[in-house]
Amino acid sequence: MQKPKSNTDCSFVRNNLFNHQEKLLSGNDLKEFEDHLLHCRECSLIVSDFQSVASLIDHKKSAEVNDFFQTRTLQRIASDLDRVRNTPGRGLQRILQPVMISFLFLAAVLIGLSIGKRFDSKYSLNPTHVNNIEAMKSDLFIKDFMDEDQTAFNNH
Amino acid sequence: MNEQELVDGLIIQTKDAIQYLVNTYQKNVIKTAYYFVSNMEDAEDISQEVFLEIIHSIKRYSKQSSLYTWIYRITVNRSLDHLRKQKRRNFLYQIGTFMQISNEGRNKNLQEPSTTDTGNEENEKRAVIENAIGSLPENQRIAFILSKYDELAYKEIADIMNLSLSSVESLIHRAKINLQHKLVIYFSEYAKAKK
Repeated sequence: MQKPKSNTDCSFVRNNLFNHQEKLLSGNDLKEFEDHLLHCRECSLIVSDFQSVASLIDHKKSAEVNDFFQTRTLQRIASDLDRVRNTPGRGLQRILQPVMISFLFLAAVLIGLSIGKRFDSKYSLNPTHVNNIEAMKSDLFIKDFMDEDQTAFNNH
Repeated sequence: MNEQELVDGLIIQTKDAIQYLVNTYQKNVIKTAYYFVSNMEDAEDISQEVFLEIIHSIKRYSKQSSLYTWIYRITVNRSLDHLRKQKRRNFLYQIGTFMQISNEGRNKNLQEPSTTDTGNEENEKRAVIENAIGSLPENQRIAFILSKYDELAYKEIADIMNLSLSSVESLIHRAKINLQHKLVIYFSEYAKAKK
Protein backbone atom coordinates (compact mmCIF):
# COMPACT_ATOMS: atom_id res chain seq x y z
CA MET A 1 0.00 0.00 0.00
CA GLN A 2 1.30 3.37 -0.99
CA LYS A 3 1.70 5.92 1.73
CA PRO A 4 -0.43 9.07 1.38
CA LYS A 5 1.56 11.95 -0.07
CA SER A 6 2.45 14.75 2.29
CA ASN A 7 1.32 18.23 1.28
CA THR A 8 4.52 19.76 2.53
CA ASP A 9 6.54 21.43 -0.15
CA CYS A 10 10.13 20.30 -0.79
CA SER A 11 11.22 23.89 -0.18
CA PHE A 12 9.94 23.68 3.42
CA VAL A 13 12.34 20.80 4.05
CA ARG A 14 15.21 22.41 2.16
CA ASN A 15 14.81 25.72 4.01
CA ASN A 16 14.82 24.06 7.42
CA LEU A 17 17.81 21.78 7.21
CA PHE A 18 19.77 23.62 9.91
CA ASN A 19 16.67 23.99 12.10
CA HIS A 20 16.03 20.26 11.82
CA GLN A 21 19.64 19.40 12.51
CA GLU A 22 19.78 21.71 15.53
CA LYS A 23 16.43 20.31 16.76
CA LEU A 24 14.81 23.73 16.56
CA LEU A 25 11.66 22.59 14.76
CA SER A 26 8.48 22.63 16.82
CA GLY A 27 6.21 19.57 17.12
CA ASN A 28 3.95 20.34 14.16
CA ASP A 29 6.74 21.50 11.84
CA LEU A 30 8.85 18.52 12.80
CA LYS A 31 5.99 16.15 11.97
CA GLU A 32 5.48 17.82 8.56
CA PHE A 33 9.21 17.70 7.92
CA GLU A 34 9.48 14.01 8.73
CA ASP A 35 6.25 13.07 6.94
CA HIS A 36 7.59 14.66 3.78
CA LEU A 37 10.74 12.59 3.99
CA LEU A 38 8.67 9.40 3.99
CA HIS A 39 7.49 9.92 0.44
CA CYS A 40 10.15 12.22 -1.09
CA ARG A 41 13.29 10.23 -1.81
CA GLU A 42 15.24 13.23 -3.10
CA CYS A 43 14.60 15.29 0.05
CA SER A 44 15.36 12.27 2.17
CA LEU A 45 18.76 11.90 0.45
CA ILE A 46 19.45 15.62 0.86
CA VAL A 47 18.65 15.47 4.58
CA SER A 48 20.87 12.43 5.08
CA ASP A 49 23.71 14.14 3.17
CA PHE A 50 23.17 17.26 5.23
CA GLN A 51 23.75 15.19 8.38
CA SER A 52 27.30 14.74 7.11
CA VAL A 53 27.82 18.50 7.52
CA ALA A 54 27.43 18.06 11.26
CA SER A 55 29.71 15.04 11.33
CA LEU A 56 32.37 16.85 9.29
CA ILE A 57 32.18 19.84 11.62
CA ASP A 58 32.58 17.48 14.58
CA HIS A 59 35.48 15.79 12.83
CA LYS A 60 37.19 19.15 12.35
CA LYS A 61 36.57 20.06 15.98
CA SER A 62 38.29 16.89 17.10
CA ALA A 63 41.61 17.91 15.50
CA GLU A 64 44.45 17.41 17.95
CA VAL A 65 46.99 20.06 18.82
CA ASN A 66 50.63 19.06 18.30
CA ASP A 67 52.30 18.17 21.64
CA PHE A 68 55.47 20.04 20.68
CA PHE A 69 53.69 23.23 19.77
CA GLN A 70 54.20 24.83 23.18
CA THR A 71 57.95 24.08 23.20
CA ARG A 72 58.43 25.37 19.67
CA THR A 73 56.40 28.50 20.37
CA LEU A 74 58.30 29.28 23.57
CA GLN A 75 61.60 28.84 21.72
CA ARG A 76 60.45 31.15 18.93
CA ILE A 77 59.27 33.78 21.40
CA ALA A 78 62.58 33.59 23.30
CA SER A 79 64.65 33.97 20.14
CA ASP A 80 62.44 36.83 18.95
CA LEU A 81 62.80 38.66 22.26
CA ASP A 82 66.58 38.05 22.24
CA ARG A 83 66.82 39.45 18.73
CA VAL A 84 64.95 42.59 19.77
CA ARG A 85 67.07 43.03 22.92
CA ASN A 86 70.37 42.42 21.08
CA THR A 87 69.68 44.98 18.41
CA PRO A 88 70.57 48.26 20.13
CA GLY A 89 69.12 51.45 18.73
CA ARG A 90 66.66 49.54 16.60
CA GLY A 91 64.23 52.44 16.77
CA LEU A 92 66.96 54.90 15.82
CA GLN A 93 68.00 52.64 12.96
CA ARG A 94 64.48 52.76 11.61
CA ILE A 95 64.70 56.56 11.39
CA LEU A 96 68.34 56.85 10.31
CA GLN A 97 68.15 54.33 7.49
CA PRO A 98 65.63 56.24 5.33
CA VAL A 99 67.36 59.54 6.19
CA MET A 100 70.71 58.18 4.97
CA ILE A 101 69.16 56.77 1.79
CA SER A 102 67.46 60.12 1.08
CA PHE A 103 70.73 61.97 1.73
CA LEU A 104 72.68 59.72 -0.65
CA PHE A 105 70.01 60.10 -3.31
CA LEU A 106 70.05 63.88 -2.95
CA ALA A 107 73.86 63.96 -3.07
CA ALA A 108 73.85 61.84 -6.25
CA VAL A 109 71.34 64.22 -7.88
CA LEU A 110 73.41 67.30 -6.89
CA ILE A 111 76.67 65.78 -8.17
CA GLY A 112 74.94 64.90 -11.44
CA LEU A 113 73.61 68.45 -11.79
CA SER A 114 77.00 70.04 -11.08
CA ILE A 115 78.79 67.81 -13.63
CA GLY A 116 76.11 68.58 -16.16
CA LYS A 117 76.46 72.30 -15.52
CA ARG A 118 80.24 72.20 -15.94
CA PHE A 119 79.92 70.27 -19.16
CA ASP A 120 77.25 72.67 -20.37
CA SER A 121 79.35 75.81 -19.70
CA LYS A 122 82.52 74.30 -21.19
CA TYR A 123 81.02 73.09 -24.43
CA SER A 124 78.23 75.59 -24.92
CA LEU A 125 77.58 76.48 -28.60
CA ASN A 126 77.12 80.13 -27.74
CA PRO A 127 78.64 82.01 -30.76
CA THR A 128 80.34 84.53 -28.48
CA HIS A 129 82.50 81.80 -26.94
CA VAL A 130 84.61 80.85 -29.92
CA ASN A 131 87.30 79.57 -27.62
CA ASN A 132 85.01 76.80 -26.53
CA ILE A 133 85.05 75.35 -30.02
CA GLU A 134 88.81 75.42 -29.94
CA ALA A 135 88.72 73.72 -26.60
CA MET A 136 86.41 71.07 -27.97
CA LYS A 137 88.70 70.53 -30.95
CA SER A 138 91.70 70.10 -28.72
CA ASP A 139 89.79 67.84 -26.36
CA LEU A 140 88.69 65.62 -29.19
CA PHE A 141 92.12 65.70 -30.91
CA ILE A 142 90.56 66.62 -34.23
CA LYS A 143 92.40 69.89 -34.77
CA ASP A 144 95.17 68.35 -36.88
CA PHE A 145 92.75 66.32 -38.95
CA MET A 146 90.69 69.40 -39.62
CA ASP A 147 93.85 71.29 -40.68
CA GLU A 148 94.77 68.41 -42.97
CA ASP A 149 91.30 68.51 -44.47
CA GLN A 150 91.56 72.24 -44.95
CA THR A 151 94.97 71.82 -46.76
CA ALA A 152 93.56 69.10 -48.94
CA PHE A 153 90.59 71.31 -49.79
CA ASN A 154 92.82 74.27 -50.67
CA ASN A 155 95.00 72.06 -52.93
CA HIS A 156 91.94 71.07 -54.92
CA MET B 1 47.81 33.73 37.90
CA ASN B 2 44.87 36.10 37.34
CA GLU B 3 44.35 38.21 34.24
CA GLN B 4 45.88 41.36 35.73
CA GLU B 5 48.99 39.51 36.90
CA LEU B 6 49.31 37.94 33.46
CA VAL B 7 49.05 41.30 31.70
CA ASP B 8 51.58 42.88 34.10
CA GLY B 9 53.94 39.92 33.59
CA LEU B 10 53.63 40.17 29.82
CA ILE B 11 54.39 43.89 29.87
CA ILE B 12 57.74 43.22 31.55
CA GLN B 13 58.08 39.98 29.55
CA THR B 14 58.61 37.54 32.41
CA LYS B 15 59.21 33.92 31.48
CA ASP B 16 56.40 32.71 33.78
CA ALA B 17 53.82 35.01 32.22
CA ILE B 18 54.79 34.04 28.67
CA GLN B 19 54.69 30.35 29.57
CA TYR B 20 51.31 30.76 31.25
CA LEU B 21 49.94 32.66 28.25
CA VAL B 22 50.97 29.98 25.74
CA ASN B 23 49.93 27.13 27.98
CA THR B 24 46.49 28.59 28.72
CA TYR B 25 45.50 29.84 25.29
CA GLN B 26 47.33 27.62 22.80
CA LYS B 27 44.50 25.18 22.27
CA ASN B 28 41.85 27.84 21.61
CA VAL B 29 44.15 29.90 19.39
CA ILE B 30 45.30 26.96 17.25
CA LYS B 31 41.82 25.54 16.90
CA THR B 32 40.25 28.86 15.92
CA ALA B 33 42.99 29.48 13.35
CA TYR B 34 42.49 25.93 12.07
CA TYR B 35 38.73 26.42 11.70
CA PHE B 36 39.46 29.38 9.44
CA VAL B 37 42.37 28.09 7.36
CA SER B 38 41.62 24.32 7.44
CA ASN B 39 45.30 23.41 7.61
CA MET B 40 47.00 22.49 10.86
CA GLU B 41 50.51 23.59 9.86
CA ASP B 42 49.26 27.01 8.77
CA ALA B 43 47.17 27.21 11.94
CA GLU B 44 50.29 26.58 14.06
CA ASP B 45 52.26 29.26 12.21
CA ILE B 46 49.40 31.72 12.65
CA SER B 47 49.20 30.85 16.36
CA GLN B 48 52.90 31.58 16.87
CA GLU B 49 52.40 34.95 15.15
CA VAL B 50 49.41 35.58 17.42
CA PHE B 51 51.44 34.96 20.59
CA LEU B 52 54.26 37.19 19.33
CA GLU B 53 51.75 39.93 18.55
CA ILE B 54 50.20 39.60 22.01
CA ILE B 55 53.62 39.98 23.68
CA HIS B 56 54.70 42.91 21.52
CA SER B 57 51.43 44.80 21.71
CA ILE B 58 50.23 43.99 25.23
CA LYS B 59 50.81 47.63 26.18
CA ARG B 60 48.07 48.57 23.72
CA TYR B 61 45.57 46.20 25.35
CA SER B 62 42.97 48.63 26.61
CA LYS B 63 41.13 46.32 29.04
CA GLN B 64 37.79 47.40 27.57
CA SER B 65 37.22 43.75 26.74
CA SER B 66 38.57 40.65 28.46
CA LEU B 67 42.03 39.38 27.53
CA TYR B 68 40.35 36.26 26.17
CA THR B 69 38.22 38.33 23.77
CA TRP B 70 41.25 40.41 22.72
CA ILE B 71 43.25 37.25 21.96
CA TYR B 72 40.35 35.82 19.94
CA ARG B 73 40.17 39.08 17.98
CA ILE B 74 43.89 38.93 17.13
CA THR B 75 43.54 35.27 16.12
CA VAL B 76 40.59 35.95 13.82
CA ASN B 77 42.37 38.93 12.22
CA ARG B 78 45.59 36.99 11.70
CA SER B 79 43.69 34.06 10.18
CA LEU B 80 41.81 36.35 7.81
CA ASP B 81 45.09 38.06 6.83
CA HIS B 82 46.50 34.65 6.05
CA LEU B 83 43.49 33.79 3.89
CA ARG B 84 43.76 37.12 2.05
CA LYS B 85 47.43 36.50 1.30
CA GLN B 86 46.56 33.01 0.17
CA LYS B 87 43.85 34.39 -2.09
CA ARG B 88 46.37 36.78 -3.67
CA ARG B 89 48.62 33.84 -4.43
CA ASN B 90 45.62 31.89 -5.60
CA PHE B 91 46.43 31.88 -9.27
CA LEU B 92 49.90 30.40 -8.83
CA TYR B 93 48.63 28.14 -6.09
CA GLN B 94 45.90 26.77 -8.34
CA ILE B 95 48.39 26.02 -11.07
CA GLY B 96 50.63 24.28 -8.51
CA THR B 97 47.75 22.30 -7.06
CA PHE B 98 46.52 21.34 -10.49
CA MET B 99 49.95 20.03 -11.43
CA GLN B 100 50.31 18.27 -8.07
CA ILE B 101 46.90 16.64 -8.42
CA SER B 102 47.73 15.56 -11.96
CA ASN B 103 50.94 13.97 -10.72
CA GLU B 104 49.32 12.41 -7.67
CA GLY B 105 46.45 11.16 -9.81
CA ARG B 106 48.91 9.64 -12.23
CA ASN B 107 50.83 8.02 -9.37
CA LYS B 108 47.65 6.77 -7.70
CA ASN B 109 46.49 5.23 -10.95
CA LEU B 110 49.76 3.38 -11.07
CA GLN B 111 50.05 2.43 -7.41
CA GLU B 112 46.55 2.31 -5.91
CA PRO B 113 44.00 1.21 -8.46
CA SER B 114 41.52 0.08 -5.78
CA THR B 115 40.80 3.41 -4.01
CA THR B 116 37.39 3.22 -2.36
CA ASP B 117 34.56 5.47 -3.49
CA THR B 118 33.54 6.16 0.12
CA GLY B 119 36.79 7.98 0.85
CA ASN B 120 36.44 10.08 -2.29
CA GLU B 121 32.82 10.84 -1.47
CA GLU B 122 33.79 11.95 2.03
CA ASN B 123 36.60 14.15 0.72
CA GLU B 124 34.35 15.62 -1.92
CA LYS B 125 31.68 16.46 0.66
CA ARG B 126 34.32 17.98 2.93
CA ALA B 127 35.63 20.11 0.07
CA VAL B 128 32.10 21.24 -0.82
CA ILE B 129 31.37 22.24 2.76
CA GLU B 130 34.72 24.03 3.14
CA ASN B 131 34.14 25.89 -0.12
CA ALA B 132 30.59 26.80 0.85
CA ILE B 133 31.78 28.20 4.19
CA GLY B 134 34.72 29.92 2.49
CA SER B 135 32.46 31.61 -0.02
CA LEU B 136 30.33 33.26 2.67
CA PRO B 137 30.77 37.02 3.13
CA GLU B 138 33.56 37.68 5.66
CA ASN B 139 31.38 38.78 8.59
CA GLN B 140 28.97 35.87 8.13
CA ARG B 141 31.89 33.46 7.94
CA ILE B 142 33.49 34.77 11.15
CA ALA B 143 30.19 34.65 13.04
CA PHE B 144 29.33 31.18 11.73
CA ILE B 145 32.76 29.69 12.55
CA LEU B 146 32.87 31.21 16.03
CA SER B 147 29.36 29.95 16.72
CA LYS B 148 29.42 26.49 15.10
CA TYR B 149 33.03 25.45 15.55
CA ASP B 150 34.25 27.42 18.57
CA GLU B 151 30.79 27.11 20.17
CA LEU B 152 30.99 30.64 21.54
CA ALA B 153 27.91 32.36 22.86
CA TYR B 154 26.38 35.12 20.72
CA LYS B 155 27.44 37.67 23.35
CA GLU B 156 31.09 36.57 23.10
CA ILE B 157 30.94 36.70 19.31
CA ALA B 158 29.45 40.19 19.52
CA ASP B 159 32.35 41.29 21.77
CA ILE B 160 34.98 39.77 19.48
CA MET B 161 33.46 41.27 16.35
CA ASN B 162 32.60 44.61 17.99
CA LEU B 163 28.97 44.23 16.92
CA SER B 164 25.60 44.27 18.64
CA LEU B 165 23.96 41.04 19.69
CA SER B 166 21.19 41.44 17.12
CA SER B 167 23.75 41.96 14.32
CA VAL B 168 25.45 38.71 15.27
CA GLU B 169 22.12 36.86 15.34
CA SER B 170 21.30 38.22 11.93
CA LEU B 171 24.74 37.34 10.53
CA ILE B 172 24.49 33.75 11.74
CA HIS B 173 20.93 33.42 10.45
CA ARG B 174 21.98 34.70 7.00
CA ALA B 175 25.07 32.49 7.01
CA LYS B 176 22.90 29.43 7.62
CA ILE B 177 20.45 30.37 4.86
CA ASN B 178 23.32 30.93 2.41
CA LEU B 179 25.00 27.69 3.35
CA GLN B 180 21.74 25.75 3.16
CA HIS B 181 21.13 27.18 -0.30
CA LYS B 182 24.63 26.33 -1.56
CA LEU B 183 24.62 22.84 -0.07
CA VAL B 184 21.11 21.98 -1.26
CA ILE B 185 22.16 22.75 -4.84
CA TYR B 186 25.10 20.37 -4.50
CA PHE B 187 23.24 17.66 -2.57
CA SER B 188 20.22 17.69 -4.90
CA GLU B 189 22.51 17.22 -7.93
CA TYR B 190 24.11 14.42 -5.99
CA ALA B 191 20.73 12.90 -5.06
CA LYS B 192 19.59 13.03 -8.71
CA ALA B 193 22.76 11.23 -9.73
CA LYS B 194 22.12 8.56 -7.09
CA LYS B 195 18.53 7.91 -8.29
